[in-house]
Order: sequence, then C-alpha cells, then structure tokens
Amino acid sequence: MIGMSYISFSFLLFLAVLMTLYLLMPSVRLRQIILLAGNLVFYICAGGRSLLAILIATTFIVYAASRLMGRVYEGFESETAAKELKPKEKSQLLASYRKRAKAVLIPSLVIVLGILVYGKAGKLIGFPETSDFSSLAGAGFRAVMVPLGISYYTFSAVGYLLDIYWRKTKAEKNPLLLLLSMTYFPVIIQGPISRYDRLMKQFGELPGFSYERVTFGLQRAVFGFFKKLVLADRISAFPAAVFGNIQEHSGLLVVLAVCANAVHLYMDFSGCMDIVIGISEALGVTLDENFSQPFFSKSAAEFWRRWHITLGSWFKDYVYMPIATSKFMMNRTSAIRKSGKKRLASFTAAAVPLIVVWILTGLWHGTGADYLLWGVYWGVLIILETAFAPEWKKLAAYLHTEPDRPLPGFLRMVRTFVYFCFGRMITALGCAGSALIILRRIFSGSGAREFIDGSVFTYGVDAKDFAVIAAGLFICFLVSIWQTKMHIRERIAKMALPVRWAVYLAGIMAVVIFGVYGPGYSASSFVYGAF
Amino acid sequence: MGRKARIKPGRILRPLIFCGLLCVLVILAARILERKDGPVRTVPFMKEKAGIDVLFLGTSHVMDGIYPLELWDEYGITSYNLASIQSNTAESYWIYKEALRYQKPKVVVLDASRSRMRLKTSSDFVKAQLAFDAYPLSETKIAAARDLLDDESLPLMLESGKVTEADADTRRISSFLFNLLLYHSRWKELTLNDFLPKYDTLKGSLYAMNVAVPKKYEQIPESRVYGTGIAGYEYIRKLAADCRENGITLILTYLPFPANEAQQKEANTAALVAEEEGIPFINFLRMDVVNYDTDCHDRMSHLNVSGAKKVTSYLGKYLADNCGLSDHRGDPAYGSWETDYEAYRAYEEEALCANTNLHQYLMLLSAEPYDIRIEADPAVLSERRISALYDNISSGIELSEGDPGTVRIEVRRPGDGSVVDDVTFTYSMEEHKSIEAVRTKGDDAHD
Repeated sequence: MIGMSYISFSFLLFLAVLMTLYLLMPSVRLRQIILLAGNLVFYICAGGRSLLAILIATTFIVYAASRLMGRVYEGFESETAAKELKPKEKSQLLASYRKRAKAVLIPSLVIVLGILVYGKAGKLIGFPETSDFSSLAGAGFRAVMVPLGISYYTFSAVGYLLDIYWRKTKAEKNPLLLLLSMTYFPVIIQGPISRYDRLMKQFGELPGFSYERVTFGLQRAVFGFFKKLVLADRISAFPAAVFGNIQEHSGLLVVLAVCANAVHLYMDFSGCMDIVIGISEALGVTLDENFSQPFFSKSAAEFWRRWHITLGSWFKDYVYMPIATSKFMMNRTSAIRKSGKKRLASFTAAAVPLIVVWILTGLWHGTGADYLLWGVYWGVLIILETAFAPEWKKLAAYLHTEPDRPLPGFLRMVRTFVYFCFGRMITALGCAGSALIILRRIFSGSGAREFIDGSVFTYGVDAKDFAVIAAGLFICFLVSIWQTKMHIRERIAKMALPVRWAVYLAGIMAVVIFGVYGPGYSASSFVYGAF
Repeated sequence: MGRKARIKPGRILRPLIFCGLLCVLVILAARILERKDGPVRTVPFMKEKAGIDVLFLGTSHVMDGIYPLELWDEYGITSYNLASIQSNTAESYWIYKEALRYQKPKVVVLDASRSRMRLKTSSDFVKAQLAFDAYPLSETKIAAARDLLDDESLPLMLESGKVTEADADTRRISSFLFNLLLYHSRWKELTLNDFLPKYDTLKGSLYAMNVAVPKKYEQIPESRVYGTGIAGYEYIRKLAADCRENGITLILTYLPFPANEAQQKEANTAALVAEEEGIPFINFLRMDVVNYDTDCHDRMSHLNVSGAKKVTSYLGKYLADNCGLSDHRGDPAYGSWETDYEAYRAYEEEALCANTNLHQYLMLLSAEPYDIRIEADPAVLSERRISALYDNISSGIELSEGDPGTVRIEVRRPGDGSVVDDVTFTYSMEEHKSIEAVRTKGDDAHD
C-alpha cells in the first residue's frame, strides 16, 4: 500500500501524470473518464482499496434512490401539466407524491447514514476496525468498516437525496457524473463537503486547458503547501510536547501551547483546503470555500460561518432548518408566543435546533465524550450569544461605544479567538476533563522560567523554527487582510514578469526548503483526515 | 469567423522557462543544503584529470590507513581513497560501479572489514547516503539505490533493535536519489563551507593525528570462519567477477588494527573467499607492519599518520612489484600530482607546527625525512609511551639532555637545513601529557 496523502511525494507524481493526461484530452467525455480513473487510483493508493466496494455500493444506492425519486416527481409534473389544478389541489397532489418519494428516501437514508453511524458508534463502543467483509462477518459484526472519507461523502450524498426529495434539485440521469462526484479525489479525504448537484453540473461541462485557471489553481495549492508544511507541521511539535507532559508545565508556556494548538489546526485544515481547492481549480472544477478569515470573526456565530463553512452550511440546511421549520417546533413556539412570552418563543425557536446541530457537530468530529462536550460548548456559547444579543447592544449603548469600531472590533476578535482556544482545550488531551486539567495547569504557576532561561525552545520548536513560524504567520496575516480587499492572484498576475516570477519562485522554494517533510520526520497527517 | 485562435509562443515558452528556473533553484538549493562530508571527498575524484591507476575501497580503516599521496611520492602510482565510513561490502561494490563512470583504474583494492555484515549498508543509513551524495542521477545510481535498499536482512535487524525505526525511515529510494528530501532541513545549520565547500586535497584519505593505545585481543586460528550466505562475501565475489570482466586486478586486504574475535573471523573468511575467487589477499592482521602502541589513532583502532604511512608503503611495494603499474613521477601529464604532493607536504608541516601535544608530535615525526635535534629530560624520554614513540621515529636524531620536565625538539629540512619548527614541550609525568608547548621564533632557534 502506497498510503498516498496530499502532502506525499507520490501524490505530486500522481497529480503531474493525471493533470498532463487530463488537460491533453480533447473532449469532455475523455476528461471525465481520465478523472474517474484518477479518482479510483487515488482512492486505492490512499488506503481505501479494500473498502472501495462500499463507496461504489453507496454510489449505486444514491443513484438508484435519486432516480426513483426523480421519476416520482416526473409523474407529478406530468400530471400537473396535464390537468389544470388549483394551488390547494396541487399541494395535495404533491403531498401524495412526496409520500411515495419518502418511501424511497427513508430506506436509502437509513442505509447510507447507517454505514456511517455503525462505524462511528462501533468505534465508540470499542469495536476493532477491519477492512474486509469476511472478518467483519467472522467477528459477528462486532467490528467496524470505515471507508476513507466516509463522513464527507455520506453528508454530501444525504444532502443530495434530501435536495431531490425537497425538489431543490433534479436527479442526475448520468451515473458517471454521480460516481465522479462521490469519488472526486480532491474532496474525498477532507472535504470541503460538496453539493453534488453543483459538482455534477461542472463535471458535465469539464473545460479544457486554460493557462490562467491552471496557474491560478496551482498557485493556491502552493500556498496551501506553505501553510501545511512550513507552518502547521512545524507548529504541531510544540503543543504535542507540552500537552504530552502537561503536569510538568504551567502558566504562560501552557497558554502558548493552547494558542499554538489553535493556530496549528487552522494552518493544517485551511492549508489542506487551499491545496484541494487549488488543484480542483486547475482541473476546472470550482469547489465551495471552507474558510473566510475565521480569526477576524467578532462572535462565535460569525466564527462558525467563516470556519469549516461547508459543514456549517450543511448542518444549517439539512438539520437546523428542518427542525426549526418542523410542525412540532412551529406549534411549540407559536404556543409560547401566544402565552405572551415572545422572547422565550424566539429563544426556543433558535436554541432547540442549535443544540441538536451542535451535538451532531461534536459527534461528527469525534465519538468520545470530549467531542460531545465540545459540541455542547459551542452550542451553548452561540445560544447565549444570540439570547443576550439585546443586552449586549444595550451595554454598548450605555458605554457609548460602537461595537464595530476598530478597538472594540479587535477586542471582539480576540474574544472569539479565546472561545476557539478554549474549545480546542476541551479535546486537546483526549479526555472529558481535558479543559479543566489545562486550566488548572495554566493557573498553577507563571511558567515564565522557560521563557527566561530559553528552555521554551526545547519543546520540538527551536529558536530558528520560531522565527520561521513568526515570518510565516505574518505572511498569512497579510494575505488574509489583502483577501478582504482584492483578488491577490489576479493582482500578482498583473505585476511585471520578473516580480511575479520572483513571488512564485520564492513561494515554492520556501516550501521546498522550510517545509517539514521527507525522511527523518514523520509528517503528521492532516488533522481533519480521519473523519 | 472560423479562424482558429493562435497560441502565442510566449504561452508555451514562459512556463518552460519558469520550470527551468525552478529546476535551477531546486538543484542549487540541493547543492547548498546537502551535507558536504561525502561530496568534498568524492568531487575531486570525479574531476581527477590525470587518471587513477589504483582505487581503494572499504571502511574508515581504509580512509585512515592509506595515503595516495605517499604512494605517489614513493612509487609514482596514482590512486584515490574512495573508502567511506561504515561502508559494507555491498556499498563498496556500488561505489566501485559509480567510480568506473569517471575513471578506469587498473587495480582495485578492497578491504574486507565489515564483509561479515548481513545488512547491505551501515545500520546508520545516512553514512551510505553520504558516500553517494556527489554522484548525479544515473542508471548506475538508480540500480545502486534499488539494490542497497532492497535488503532482506532489514526486518530482522529492525526486530532485534540493531536498526532503529528512525534509521529505517531514512531508507528511501526517493531521498537516496534526490537528497534534498533528506537534507532540506539543514537550513538551520548552514555555514560558509556549505556555500563554498573546501574540497579534500588528500585524495580521499584522512590525516588522523591522535595517538591511542587500543585494547588488544588474542589471535584466533585461521580455521575459524563464518558460514555461507552472508551478503558481504557475496558482494566480494560479485566485485571479483566484475573486475575480471573489465580487466581490472582486484586485491583484497584486511588492514591492521587490534581486531576482536569476530573481526578476525571476518578476515579468515575473506581469505577463503579470496582463495576461491583467485584474488590476492593481504591480511595485515597476521603481519607486523604496524606497532599498535604507536600507530593507532583511537580506541576503535583506526590507524594514525604513522600507521597509515607504514601500511601505504607496504602496499605500494606490493603494487609496484606485482601489478605492473607505471611510475608516473616526472611525466608532465601528471604534473598536477606533483603540485598536489607539494600541497600535502605543506599541509603536513602546518599540522606539525601547530601541534601542541608531545605524543602526537613525536608520532608525526615518525616517517618524515627531517633532521631532528632533541634536548630532553631523560626521565620524560624514558616514560613508556614517549619511549615507544621516540623509537618509532625513523630519521636520525641528535639527542642531548634538556631541562627537567621538558622536551625541546628542533626540526630542520635535510636539504637546506632551514628550520621547520622549534618547540619546547613541558611534560607532566603525573598526568602523562604535555601541559605546555612553547615555540621559538626563527632567530632563537638552535644554531
């Protein structure tokens, strides 16, 4: 097994061969075939060989279910086209068709989600992982099979089926396009969680070679490699060393480790997103953005609109909204409102779906109690932020401050970063009491000694590494600021050739020289790669 | 309408030029970032224009033990020491294959030290990497990588802990062939030498100046040998076949050092293999060419300058008598060797004049054709180690009694009588070492 990952030498070779073949293909159909072959090769080489059958079977189920639901609604459309119906009659007719569609939807969802839930729940109760069906049966199903990227393709598949059921999109007739979407190699391991209707539309019109698109895409991928290899993998050693021996450390050193842990996750995850979105852009497929300068967020809710955007948007569309607009919730909130408690009604309307969303978000990230706690933490934080929004406004008015002015705005960003760091503390040690242990260590001493005697540089990150990290973070900070004001790659492309080539070459060489990769160092896999 | 859009030549040329520039930068970075230990010894060999008659291969014992420039001075033989640290026989075989791409030696001398090893390379793989770093990517290098890294013994060595997981991680064909993958993190330790490497001027040999008395072992009978199936001996046979095919004379040696039981068995087995293959074998373990009391550099028993010169001289005579090699001294085509030898002599004199350790100083004088005057406290001179080193000096010495606790040594060139060095050592009999060395300026030297 090659064990190919996005940061491996073998992946770069794979990509070079695939891109060359793909971009040389003269027709859409040939590009589709090359891309599908590439997807399968990648999935096999990335370690999914033995479980590829589950992914293919899931694709078959999704295709069959989507086509069946599509046919049901085609029947509805032809019936409404044939008859002239009043809106109420049309609505009644749709309800009857929807019942038939539901008869297809529910079993397909049970199967597709069932594989995911079985895997997650099985791991939670300690079932061992296996990669072949005979040992699964041999263990009396007291083992789990977890195909590579299951969380990502399952969510996308569920979203696609629900969109068809809700008639937001139409079922794709070409199975090749669905298979391409479900196996698409840039998104299979870490997302972003794709909307298959949008992907399939693009796969149906795969464009040929475009100089600008290919170069822009590769530039973004290089920036992703910079974030992952130069920053994330360099930073990661520090929190690992401090948290690995947490009882020996205190105060500032632990605070620095907590901050490093938070920044590491951002650089790791957003770096990977830049790599995959960039590669996809070079192939002519635009993926949804997953990050939008999250550390510039001024509240917890805003943070989650800018961090792992596709996950948040998926939960909003397929969990939050269905609960919030369900008959049960509408009746309950309406009853509360009628009793005169308007604020309680709107609180309930927001809080109930939110807490469900956040418990599920926690479980999606990990099956341990720490992740459940993490989900509840974010849920409660956002609910409180929403519930007390009027009081915050009143307080700001009382203090005669504008919350969005530079200084208060900056302080709110710092507060959000603290929220995030605390969230990371909950899962940092891999136990339910993680945050408490870390907090206790923070307040058990100053930890200043390590900074004075220089031993802070002995936790896997020496002084030269710190200098590289500081310079790298500064570059990323500047890029984040510029991103809010301009399209950086277009701006660079307009510069004089020597200047822009100098920028590109400097970027690539920074990764080549300062990247943490190769033998002697076991590059940690992307943090978001195991879901 | 209907006209096809023409692709501007710049659209094709620019990416090509960009990729070319990137390649240049990556190659430059690789050159700067790579460890220089290997290339500084190998690159001069690759650039050697006059031609090499003899190639020495083996381990650090050979690096320390054979001086090509002494061989040149005494016999006019051109040679190069391509041995490398902890080089197992398989590694030496592939170094030989690489070397043939640059030189056509008439004789290859392989030392059989480490031929008993089951692994094809050192358990510290970076040492093998260093030996190959300078060679550019070629079919030979790819074949070397594939062979050396396809090691049946590795799993067993990993299991027994003789090879660490970290070492196993460095055993990759990719980084063996593109060493930037391994060395890129050296940006932290770059020095001026990485940008302007100081290449070796001693034809691959190491000038080891310490004097150590290593542990000695009982000699075991010649009949005690290793069994069959050891990779190292198979590679000796492979090398023998290859040399026969290329018309090269192969000589097997086992350089002198106080060898333990396993190493003596290794030499005995090499003798059997040599006999079977019809290769001459010079087993220095069973000769009295060197004196372990004066000729060892460290407790690991590598030879120092004195030992190396004795071994080189012995080997030189053997090569001159048995291999039909021409004496190139005075041949204008080999003028660079005369220049290199002069530089070597200057290096030796510099090393002598900078030395502040009496033991080392006496050892360095051992094989030099100097006129030497010594004024010494007889008590110091009769100390066991000093006495052995004094006896080891082959030149004539004018000896007189000196101040208590001191040894004054004046060294002159035999031809013009000019002073090379005039130094007075203060020696502590209690600590058995020199505690001070005072050099006399030219005017104050002996008349």
